[in-house]
Amino acid sequence: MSLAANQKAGARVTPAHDADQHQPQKGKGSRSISTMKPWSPWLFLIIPIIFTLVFTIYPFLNTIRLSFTNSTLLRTGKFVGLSQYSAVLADTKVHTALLNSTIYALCMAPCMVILPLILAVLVNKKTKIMSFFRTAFYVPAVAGSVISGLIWTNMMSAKGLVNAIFMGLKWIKEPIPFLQDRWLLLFSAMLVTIWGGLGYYMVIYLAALANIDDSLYEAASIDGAGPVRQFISVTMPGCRMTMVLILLLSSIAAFRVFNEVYMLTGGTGGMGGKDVTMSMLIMREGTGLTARTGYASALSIIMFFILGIITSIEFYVQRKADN
Amino acid sequence: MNTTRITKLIAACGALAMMTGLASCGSSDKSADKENSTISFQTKNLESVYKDYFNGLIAKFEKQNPGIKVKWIDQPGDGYANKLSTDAAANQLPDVMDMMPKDAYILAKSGAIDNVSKANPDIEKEYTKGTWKSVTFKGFGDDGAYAYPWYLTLGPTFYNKKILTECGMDTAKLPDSWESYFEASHQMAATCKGKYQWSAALPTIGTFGEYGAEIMNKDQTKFTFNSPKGVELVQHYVDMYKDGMMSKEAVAASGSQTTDLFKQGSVATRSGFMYDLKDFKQNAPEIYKNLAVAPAITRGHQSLNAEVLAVSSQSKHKDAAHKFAAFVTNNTNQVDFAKSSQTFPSTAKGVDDPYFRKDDGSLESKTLVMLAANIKNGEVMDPPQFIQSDLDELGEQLQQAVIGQISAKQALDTAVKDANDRLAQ
Repeated sequence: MSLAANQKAGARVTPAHDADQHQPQKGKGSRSISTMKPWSPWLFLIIPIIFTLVFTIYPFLNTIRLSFTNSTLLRTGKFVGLSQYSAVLADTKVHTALLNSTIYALCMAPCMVILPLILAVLVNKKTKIMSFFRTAFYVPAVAGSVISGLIWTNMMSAKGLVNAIFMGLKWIKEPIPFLQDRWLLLFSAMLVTIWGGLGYYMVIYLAALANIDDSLYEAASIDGAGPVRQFISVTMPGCRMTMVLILLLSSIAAFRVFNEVYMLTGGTGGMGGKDVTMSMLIMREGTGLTARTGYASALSIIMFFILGIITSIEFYVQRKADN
Repeated sequence: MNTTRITKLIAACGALAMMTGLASCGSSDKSADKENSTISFQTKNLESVYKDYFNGLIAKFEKQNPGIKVKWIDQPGDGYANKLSTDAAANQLPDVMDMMPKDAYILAKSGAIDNVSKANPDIEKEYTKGTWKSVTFKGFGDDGAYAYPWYLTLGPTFYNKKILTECGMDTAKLPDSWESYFEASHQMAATCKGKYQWSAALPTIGTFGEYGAEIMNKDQTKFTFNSPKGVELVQHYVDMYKDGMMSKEAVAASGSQTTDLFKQGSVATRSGFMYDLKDFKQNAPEIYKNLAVAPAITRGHQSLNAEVLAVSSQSKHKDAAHKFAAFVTNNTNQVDFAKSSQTFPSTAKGVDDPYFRKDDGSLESKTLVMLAANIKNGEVMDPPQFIQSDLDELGEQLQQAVIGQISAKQALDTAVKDANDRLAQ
């Protein structure tokens, strides 16, 4: 019976009566929020909290602790202050690795922000052929970086497909040393990352594009904007938050690059170890029977701070742009 | 249940746990060995092919030693050293485990594996001098052998006769010394530069020993391969690269990639292993058809690569573990394993078995007989003190030297300095 009908029938409507009506039904298995114990929410949180403490917080704090010791895998080591950090900063291999990882991040971040967006715009039509292309572009992301690395290692070797085509076309006389030259190898690894990452980021952009109102494109079109102007003035601002997210994710991933370079160099770090990256160096120093855990921990903490700085800069720029 | 009762129950459980703990502390190793003991035995990538051999071996041991059970664990070859390292760090090494001498050195230094010379003082005579030397370590207090030598892998120098013939070289007169080896490279450069390469592999630490350069001082306290003899060896490779007899791809190649380059048919020589013959036959039949085999080039000793069995110092059944390791590596069992695995025994009498003297005219048997003849005089050239980081560093320095970025002397000085720094740690 409605309130109006009740009033019409002369029934008294009291706040208490109203409150009773709105109380949840108390039956078997049901309990009101007000009767739940204050610690009830913690029951839901306890397992994730334990996992985070055991697998994230504790290892992180332990890495900080180890970085101030001269520990090896089989020896606990002693407190040595900042000497591991000074050893890391004086190591020429670390300089090489830092340079390679920085170049990788600087080159990859813009490529990973812009290229997948262009690709997403191109395949963002609900036709069968575009559906095929969307799937095709996503396949390398499913394959993973190790398989991509293997495929490209075979393609770029001296007798691989790429050199064979160039030589067949008589563009070159000697094979291009894609996997032997320091810089060519690094850029080849970037190509593998782009090949594998395009489809992945494209899918994220497709979700963002779906949120842009079609009327904006119609208005831009009426105003005489062509496809390029529409891309710059409608698509890019519409996807700005996604672009920032991808910039952040891709630059961090690029600085931590491991699989692609590892696969292309056969795990050696390239000719003379000149293509080694920070992650490869951490793995080399921090694993195996001769692992220098103190040194590898100092290296990891330095890398953590660098990534923290990259992230802070990107957030700062974003905030500035928002203001 | 009130709080007092809960407290009493917990106290009773704690007392029981302590008593059982104390009881287990009180039981000696020896009594454990005499009664039922189960030991773990870890091998590296052997189960897929040699499952029957090991099951038979374990059954035989268990029959001879009632009361001792062996639990066999086979681990993949990739990342095997990492597996050992995590187990060692957690004090959970298997009772008996397969490894290389350089892994045994690290574990012995940290006290993770047992001193075999002390546990089994009379066993030294069972093995060849060269292999026993590879597991005998000095310099960290408790000198002695820390593992039982097991199977050996070694090989000849392979030549691609098709390439040699095309380049106008005499296939009946293959190089038998380092001088003739590098001379042949120069000779080939004159006729086949740009078409074929002489070699696809850079020297490793063992190559310096094979060349006659001293790798370490006698006290095993310093590396010394940056001597003039060592520099001379590297310079030969620098010249080979300049002559076009070693490609840039080969200089940068990893171990498995150098094998692939030989199998592709563009490289004339390869210092390989006995088991390569099977690989060539199956995967590169054209190469196998044109294969010539000659003794490994060395100044004196045949270079050996050994796998060894170590016993964990934390083992609760050390006696049983030592007994089993000695059993697996005894002459009969090593010879049996070698016959089925294209490896060689490390026992002093192993190669006296007629199997290693029987030449039926096939390439395999010729190679087997040729290699077996040199085992008693062979040595493990790679010093166990030269750890993986040193090997990586040496490889990187040699790559830079060969392509001309630094001199041979600079490369070796850096590699030796870094290796000595690590040795001193």
